[in-house]
Amino acid sequence: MQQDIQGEAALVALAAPDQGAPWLTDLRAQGLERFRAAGLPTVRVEAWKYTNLNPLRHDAWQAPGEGTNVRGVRDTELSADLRVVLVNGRLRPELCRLPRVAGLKIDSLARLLAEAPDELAALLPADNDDLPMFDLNTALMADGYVLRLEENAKIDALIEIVSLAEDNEVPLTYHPRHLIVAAPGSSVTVIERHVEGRHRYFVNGATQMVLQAGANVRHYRTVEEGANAVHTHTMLAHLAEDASLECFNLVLGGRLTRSEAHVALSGRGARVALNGAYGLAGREHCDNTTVVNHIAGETSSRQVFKGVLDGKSRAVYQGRIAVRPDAQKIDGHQLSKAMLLSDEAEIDTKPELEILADDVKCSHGATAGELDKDALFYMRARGIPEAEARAMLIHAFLADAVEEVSHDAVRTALANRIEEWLATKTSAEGAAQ
Amino acid sequence: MGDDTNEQCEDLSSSMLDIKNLHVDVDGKPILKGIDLSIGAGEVHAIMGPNGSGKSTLSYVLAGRDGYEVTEGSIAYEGQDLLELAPEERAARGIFLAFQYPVELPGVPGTTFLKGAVNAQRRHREEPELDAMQFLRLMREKTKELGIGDEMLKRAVNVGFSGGEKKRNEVLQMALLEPKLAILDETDSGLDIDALKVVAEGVNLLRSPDRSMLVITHYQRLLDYVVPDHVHVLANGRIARSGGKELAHELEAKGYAEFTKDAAA
Repeated sequence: MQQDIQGEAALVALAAPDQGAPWLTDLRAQGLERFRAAGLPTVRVEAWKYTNLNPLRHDAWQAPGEGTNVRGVRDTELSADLRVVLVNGRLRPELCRLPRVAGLKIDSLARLLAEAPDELAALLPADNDDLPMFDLNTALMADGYVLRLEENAKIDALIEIVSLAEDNEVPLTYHPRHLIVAAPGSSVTVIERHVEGRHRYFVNGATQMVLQAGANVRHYRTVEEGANAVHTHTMLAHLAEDASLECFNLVLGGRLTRSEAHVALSGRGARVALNGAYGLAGREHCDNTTVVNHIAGETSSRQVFKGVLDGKSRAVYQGRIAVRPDAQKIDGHQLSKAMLLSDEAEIDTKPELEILADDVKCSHGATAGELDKDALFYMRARGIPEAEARAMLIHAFLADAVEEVSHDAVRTALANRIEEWLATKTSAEGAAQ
Repeated sequence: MGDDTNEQCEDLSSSMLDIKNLHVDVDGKPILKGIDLSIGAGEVHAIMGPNGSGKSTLSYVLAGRDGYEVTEGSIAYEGQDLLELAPEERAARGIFLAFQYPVELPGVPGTTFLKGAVNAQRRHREEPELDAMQFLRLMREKTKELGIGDEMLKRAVNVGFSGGEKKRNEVLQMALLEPKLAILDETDSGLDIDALKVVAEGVNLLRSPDRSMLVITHYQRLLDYVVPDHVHVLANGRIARSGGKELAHELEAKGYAEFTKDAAA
């Protein structure tokens, strides 16, 4: 029992009395208090029924140091003119590429909290219930990026956020907090790349987004954490009228990942797309949990998640759509499709529709199936070797979800990334035989 | 032309395909019960027969589909044991099955699929792969030759295709892969007469002295266009009768009643 609580105790012990503004000290203390009261979620908590955080419970988690032991940033197809680099959750200005762009401000959270904390006093507090991982982030957040758009600023350039994990002997944990504030009529596209580290680490990120009237944000993520990494992330987004948020979450690695998205469609005409794809092997676990609140009328939400599971991997999709009684003319759709490549792989899907209005179009669908044997034979009968045919079919299955990505270059790059991932998986399998 | 069965037994050395006493079970149930068939290089053989006689089983066994258990007999292809080879190896060595029901491949574009197939076969034969330009040139040449538009190649393979489009796509694949032995499994099924003509013309264009064909069909209709050298009647898992192309007309007139009765007796 002593061992079981070691991980949680280590996390709590990382909270330090804050030197900052009183409101911030209070905010952190409240976060810590709520986290301690709830504890690290167990599978007895409904929202965590299918995701067991046991991999976190036994380590003596430590906060990262300076983060000097990084291998540098590899350029990829997704590399952009604007780049923010975080190492162990800390923004590293010397690794960033941030030319001046009119209407756009990108800052380090740590720097703002030190130099101009009051600019954030209205942004950081969140009225959240039952989000212990977000509370933990509030207690322990040290840095992150703060991206602010001026009114009507249309940022064409893609903004790349690279999140690196330092190689280290001790188990590290960090809790980056990011903010995206889009003023009325502004637009931006962000791609976050979470790049694998070799050692054991636990990153518990949170992103708060505020989309004011007519703002348009595209927020894409690729999560390719190391085999020993635990990655949890909570996104809280508020959309005012006619605002539009498009998200895509591509998960191709990590011992355990949980991506939570909580979206409040507060203004008439607001719309959100929460899409994703994942490819899992071994004992990897990937959880996508979404909560969409249709607070205002004429709001729409769309979700497409597709994943491929091999080995003893496990995926979770929990999708909740809530429609308030006075929110009419609502569109809410969600779809979860999984392809199970092994008898021991498993997907748990839990759609929850809570509809209190009557003029509502909501749908949900979930399928779990195997690779189409007829298709496989058809391809082999044309001379395509089995491994290659499987890879083509799996790629096609996942690429279908990637089609939801509206940014052309990102869509192509994500599809290519899946292809590369499949190629390494296929060659690894071939080598093992 | 008259006594075809004897002719084909005489010269086994030039045989493309040599099936001997083939017995096949599906789900433990015997479907083929002793097939003997030899196909020489460049010959077109038709297999006709009533539904459930084992026609499709024969085509799947030749292509190497799982679930078809050979309990007795042998299949030699170019003098080698065919049954030892995986489906993709058979394809690379020149066997092509035009499917009765071509399979939809959602998300796999036609060109990706065909380029993958052509290059996989070339790799297997240790020939250099075609690059994108070379493949495009080959594809243009074949679509032009067959009078088939290339717009369907931009779509996902067979997804949302009409029956005619699916069968034309099979013929186009055959043209690109240039097999030595083409097996056409009910290629005429589900086609109206115009679509049938287009498909048959495509098949005829691919006839050559080094390409053998096994045309499997229920109706004689297709054989008006793709005229076979030999016709065999498959009934109840055996070849009940062999003859020349006139046998097809006889079957059209009389039906299969005679053979199903014989088999039952």
